[in-house]
Amino acid sequence: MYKSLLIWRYFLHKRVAFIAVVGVALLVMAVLVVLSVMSGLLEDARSRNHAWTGDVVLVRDSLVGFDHYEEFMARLAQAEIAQASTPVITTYGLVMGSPTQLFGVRLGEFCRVTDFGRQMHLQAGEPEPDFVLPEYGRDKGGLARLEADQRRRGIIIHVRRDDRKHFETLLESGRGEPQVFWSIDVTAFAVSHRGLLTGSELGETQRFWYVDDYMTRLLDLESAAMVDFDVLGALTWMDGQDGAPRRTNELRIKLREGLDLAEGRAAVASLWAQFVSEKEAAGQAKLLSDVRVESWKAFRRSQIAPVENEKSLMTVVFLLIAVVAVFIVFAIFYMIVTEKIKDLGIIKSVGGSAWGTSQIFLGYGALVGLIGVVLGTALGYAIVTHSNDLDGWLYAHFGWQLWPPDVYFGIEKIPDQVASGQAAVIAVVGVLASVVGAALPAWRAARLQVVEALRVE
Amino acid sequence: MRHKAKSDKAEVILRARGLRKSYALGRERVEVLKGVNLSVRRGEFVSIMGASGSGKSTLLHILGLLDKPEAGEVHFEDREVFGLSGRGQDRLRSREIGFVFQFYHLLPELNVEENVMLPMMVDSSLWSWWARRGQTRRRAREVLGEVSLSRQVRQRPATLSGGERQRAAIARALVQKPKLLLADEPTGNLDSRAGKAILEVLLRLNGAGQTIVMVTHDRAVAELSQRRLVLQEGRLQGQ
Repeated sequence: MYKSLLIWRYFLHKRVAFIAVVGVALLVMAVLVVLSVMSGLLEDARSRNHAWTGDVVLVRDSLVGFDHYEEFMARLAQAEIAQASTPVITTYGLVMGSPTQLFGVRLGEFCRVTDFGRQMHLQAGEPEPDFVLPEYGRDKGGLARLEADQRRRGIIIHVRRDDRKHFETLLESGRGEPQVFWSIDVTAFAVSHRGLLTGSELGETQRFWYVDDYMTRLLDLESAAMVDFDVLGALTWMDGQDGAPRRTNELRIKLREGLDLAEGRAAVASLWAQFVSEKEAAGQAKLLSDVRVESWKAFRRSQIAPVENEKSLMTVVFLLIAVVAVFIVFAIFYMIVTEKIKDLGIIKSVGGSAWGTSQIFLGYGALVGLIGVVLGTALGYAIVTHSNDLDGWLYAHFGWQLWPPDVYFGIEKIPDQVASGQAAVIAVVGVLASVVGAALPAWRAARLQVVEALRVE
Repeated sequence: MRHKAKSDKAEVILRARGLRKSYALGRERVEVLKGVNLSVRRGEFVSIMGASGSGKSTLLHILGLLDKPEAGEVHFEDREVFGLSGRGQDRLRSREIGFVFQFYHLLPELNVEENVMLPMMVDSSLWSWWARRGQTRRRAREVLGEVSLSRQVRQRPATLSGGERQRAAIARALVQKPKLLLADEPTGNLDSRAGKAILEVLLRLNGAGQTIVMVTHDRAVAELSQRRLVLQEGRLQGQ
């Protein structure tokens, strides 16, 4: 009983303890803000990469790609591991003279395996998006018409946010007006199943027309374009026109509902291994042996890892700062115990135990920590939930940006959610740090001999 | 104001044998207690005199379990006190021995009533305190009434005079109805009028049966007790 009374009275009368409260509050606030934002950025990075990839990917790091993919897709469907799967040709070429990564996809299938459907502009949310253009439209010469094979040559290009308005002016689509045909020349290179450049030495150039644009907010896809799988397959000789089986570079897979990612990847890998064994036995596995089976996390590791590493680094930095806070609390409590030595002697002289006297300072430390944590959590919560307003204010008045978009590519807004689980952990650590800071002075208090304590002036 | 002698047939409540204690003084050790023997009967008022630095306070601290001797034994009733556990010694200090210091030693953040209740608070768990808080408060006010401090219960020690503080310290020492009251120079820091008031309180308590051992350097104060001992060259004279 006397402990609670003394803890409270000491807290009210010892102004220096308020410094410890402020120290703990600032630490908690800073850790909460940084971890909330970094966690939000990491979650956003993971989400964007998952949206682009699907769940599991079979990939061969070669422009040659691998064959027999359609047969494997049928096996996947039979094995009931996948909800959907789709092949993707990935190659490099020139789009309007600029080096570009080209993707050949079956757009409807691709949108069922990934979240790409939501990342398009004109066809966002449509059940069966495609690359097909209308027969009639307008170009510089006025009314224009596309032949049947040309109508399949729609191209979806990446658009930066600030270019959006230019395209909207250019297209003027809808409202009964003929669509503007915006032609885009694409040059790609054919590679045979033996890995040799084939076809024209200068590459194959074809004219495509704009059909849509997308924004994945992924840095490595900023300069990329998507066309029909069969059209790109023909351009790159992946379509078997050389007599070899049809090839693809990737097979993207969406796992069936309820299947855990690790479990699903393992199941796909096991099925693939079995498939490759059969093909090896039949002498048909030349292009299959170095195909990797990866989850989306491993496939996009190079894009996610920097954000994970930054979050880890921030966590370590703030743990070090927490250690500093512990030392600040320790110094303050050491001072307080030194001042209160005589009090401790008095308490012991009337029967107080060593443990009882040390509990006064442990309790005092816990109270300082608790009040600091409550204040710090409230401040941190206010800052995180208003981070975008604060960022705007700082930019407007001082030209500072906390998380500049050119560094943190793809961020549309600063994460403004506080994860309650993380906040609880931070709160517990804050109180513990304060108790640990008070522990050594408390131990010292417990060890005091009564007479020594009472002699202190 | 001199105290009448009591019967020497009362039981011995405190017995010390062969107490030794020394302190470091630079590189040397100075022995202040060189085998002190003492017996105190229930209801006695004993004073211990001696020159400054003779070890009087050291002896009283050892008797009150505030310090440990390097050799010797102290028996309180039939218990060897330094053989008790830490918890046992804490209980003894809280319930059975009251100590009054020369410099009062009240907690500045607590008011008079809370200071007096301190031995009872220390001796209770939170729940037992809560259950008995009314009873505890009544006892504190009762003992404050005995030392004429009923009107100062809510005041902090800093607002009291020296005499009032010492009376509050005496009240704290008595609140648990201890069997033994130890007083270390209780008037040493007071003017004569306040000192006289304190001595009257002690005499009144002893008259009601309280056993008291008092340390003083003042012969006139010592004269008020039943038995006067002198600590000289590390030993007690005048048993």
